[in-house]
Amino acid sequence: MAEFLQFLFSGLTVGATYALVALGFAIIYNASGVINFAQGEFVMAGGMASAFLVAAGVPLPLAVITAVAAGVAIGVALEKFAIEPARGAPVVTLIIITIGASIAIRGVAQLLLGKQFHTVPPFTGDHPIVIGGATILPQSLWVLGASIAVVIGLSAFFSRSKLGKAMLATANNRHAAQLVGINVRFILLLSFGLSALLGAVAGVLISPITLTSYDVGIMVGLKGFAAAMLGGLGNGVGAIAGGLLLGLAEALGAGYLSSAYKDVIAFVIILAVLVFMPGGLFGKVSAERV
Amino acid sequence: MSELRLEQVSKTFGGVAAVADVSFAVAPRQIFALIGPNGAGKTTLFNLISGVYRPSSGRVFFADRDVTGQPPHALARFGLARTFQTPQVFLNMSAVENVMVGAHRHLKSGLLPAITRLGGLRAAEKACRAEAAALMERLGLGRYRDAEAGALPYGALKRLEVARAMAGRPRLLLLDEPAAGLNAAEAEEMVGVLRTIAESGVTVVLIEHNMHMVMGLSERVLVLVSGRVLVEGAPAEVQRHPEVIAAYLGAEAAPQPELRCA
Amino acid sequence: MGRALTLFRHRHGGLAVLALVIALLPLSLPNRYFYDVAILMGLNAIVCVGLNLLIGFAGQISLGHAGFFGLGAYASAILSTNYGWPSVVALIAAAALVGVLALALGRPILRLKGHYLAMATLGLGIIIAVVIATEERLTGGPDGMSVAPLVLFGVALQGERVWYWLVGALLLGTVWLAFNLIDSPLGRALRAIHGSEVAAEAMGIDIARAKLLIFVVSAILAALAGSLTAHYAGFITPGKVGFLHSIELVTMVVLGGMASTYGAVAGAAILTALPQLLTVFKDYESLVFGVVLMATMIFMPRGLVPTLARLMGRRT
Repeated sequence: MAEFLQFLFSGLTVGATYALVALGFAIIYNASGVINFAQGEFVMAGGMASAFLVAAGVPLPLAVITAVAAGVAIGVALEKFAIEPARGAPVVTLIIITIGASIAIRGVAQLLLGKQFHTVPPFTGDHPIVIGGATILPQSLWVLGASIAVVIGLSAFFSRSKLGKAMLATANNRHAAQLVGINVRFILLLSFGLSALLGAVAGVLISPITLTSYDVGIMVGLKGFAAAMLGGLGNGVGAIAGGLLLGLAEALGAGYLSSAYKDVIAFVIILAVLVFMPGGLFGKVSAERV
Repeated sequence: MSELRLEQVSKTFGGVAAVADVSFAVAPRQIFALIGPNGAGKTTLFNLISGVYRPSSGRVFFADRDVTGQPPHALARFGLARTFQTPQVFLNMSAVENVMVGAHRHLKSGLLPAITRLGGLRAAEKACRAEAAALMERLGLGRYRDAEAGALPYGALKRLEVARAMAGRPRLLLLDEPAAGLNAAEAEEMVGVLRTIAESGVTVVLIEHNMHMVMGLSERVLVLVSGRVLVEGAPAEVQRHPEVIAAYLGAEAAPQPELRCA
Repeated sequence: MGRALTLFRHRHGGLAVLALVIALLPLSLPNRYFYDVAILMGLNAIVCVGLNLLIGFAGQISLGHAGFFGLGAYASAILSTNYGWPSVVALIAAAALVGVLALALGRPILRLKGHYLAMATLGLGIIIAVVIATEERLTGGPDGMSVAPLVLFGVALQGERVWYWLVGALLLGTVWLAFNLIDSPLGRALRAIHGSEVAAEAMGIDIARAKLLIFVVSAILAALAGSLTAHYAGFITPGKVGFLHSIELVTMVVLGGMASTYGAVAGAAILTALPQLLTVFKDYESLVFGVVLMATMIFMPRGLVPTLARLMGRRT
């Protein structure tokens, strides 16, 4: 039982990370139809920036906030300088552009901070807390707590604020949104900024546990993509559920089945789901009207 | 002996019946029209006949063969061809290539002959292209032969779809609003085209809102309202039917039954 | 110049030009290193021509083709090196194995469309890559394994010059086959599927069968190229099997221009050569590569060859 709880905790922790990344995918996809292959790099940027700042002597709270801001800046820059100039290009082209961006961002990280692993101190120490015979790191509680706070904040943003509703409108029907006076270009910028925020937050939260390096973004991004698909692409609640599910499956699978194939679990699940439930767990398959 | 026969065909989408209990038969070489207000289920019926949808209940017979639930490409191979309400032309190909695709069921489409160019493929391709070009000439599309399909004006696109459908030498042709979006002159041209097609022995079923075309061309008319058959008969009687007039123009326009003065 | 470009539209003209380029290129290659790059260009081009048939012509997507490439490489390597099979037999067996896998998995996967298909192929590629990297006893794991040389008619093919001509000839053959396919009823059917699946089906095209066919063809081409790469290099590592290589391949196709066979060749050539050219930037290499990629796609969204063709076309 204790063992199961252990896997549960670590699964939820890493699942929360996937959930935030998946949400980021969903937001950008909804606003532009593009799959942002640089999503994982936002996570990497958050973690690497906080590692760099802390090593430079910046106090942790300030370092974390600055790191997240840096991530958002990268996201906004990506939209402004790479996506917007290519507006109207076929979706495949836009995807390649985000791939180029992810390579470039990784290149900068490698340039500035090398290829080695970096550490970030945990927010409130690393004395494991014992619950039900299983240990959980305080940082894990930070991850879960902060993720929940972010999701609640996001949900309030979308349902209560004018800007949030404008984003939902744009996601639903871009042309109609333009016609009622919504600045669609700004919404797109905001989407990238918001997704980058989610990714960077995930990055600063998780790197005290998993360490960080210039290429951690790749797998996180891909698994986040899988999680977003699992919940049905574009579906926010589905993205969160997908992320948590994948995290849990990974932890339980690695614990009880095989830890060598941990990375494969997420993709086996998504492949199975896609084959048997093409619309994802919560999505619908829409029919073409002719 | 009928070319097309529907028996109590129904289709529901999530609880909503788009088509309910529709039965009719089309005789070979007949021109049959399907009319009704927007949203009546006409295109859904076409999709049921051509295999895009599977009926929730009922059966579809094509040349007296039960084809219920068969996929679209099987129906096409049996000799069914159709056009679409919004032209579904292959924009990534030239106009003549579009028409050549229409002849697909008559061509050998295997992998080995394709990559080795054996088995007389070269000659077959040449013949197919020539036939497609000739078909386009007959439909007045000669000058668009090598143009990119996306560059064609709307009227030409509608005729291109008809040419593509005819390239397969079908026995039954379904036309979904062939005159939609055409001006009077183009519509008149289309009437001529359809008449020629019918005269060549093809059974034609068309959905149309253009009453002039419907009444002038068809031998039998079926009126579909809210997914159900309202009435079926010769054009003239359908036109006079009070319920039909009510459905199209509103109840006040329908002539009241004559009052006999004693 | 425009008229020269129309040569490419005529199948035999374009092939002749490509043959000429392949024949004359060695005159400008100063040493073995350049031959090596040219060979890799050719091998990548073979994969890309096949991938382009799937992505550009049939309008599908695969983000896992490095998996087929790697599976072909490792299967051929294992059969020839560990089990002593004749290398040509191993090559063919590896291609057949990949073909069967693509056939089996293709049916359910190709029912998906767009991003869902992308994810499914992505997942498949990653699963293959991780399995190869993890089964150390069979594959040598992350450190890779050495591969026996290719033996053709009793002669072991080693050395850049021999391989250059072999790969060049195979590339020409592949391009010829691709053109034959495109200009056939099957090729038109694939392009029709890309244009409008509903209409294509209404014309009698069995969409599922056509998609599966081209998926398997492109997988087999990738496997063959993979096997050849393994035998040429004498060594194979999991690096070539992973997600990054899959993305590289798709990028080559998109960069060159989708639905353009010569575009696929050009894209492969450029993106194979580019990292070599960029080593001069040392640590800045990744950054410059990423920026170049972005800039190219922003200014030439349809890819290199179609954009050039349009520019040329305007002058005539």
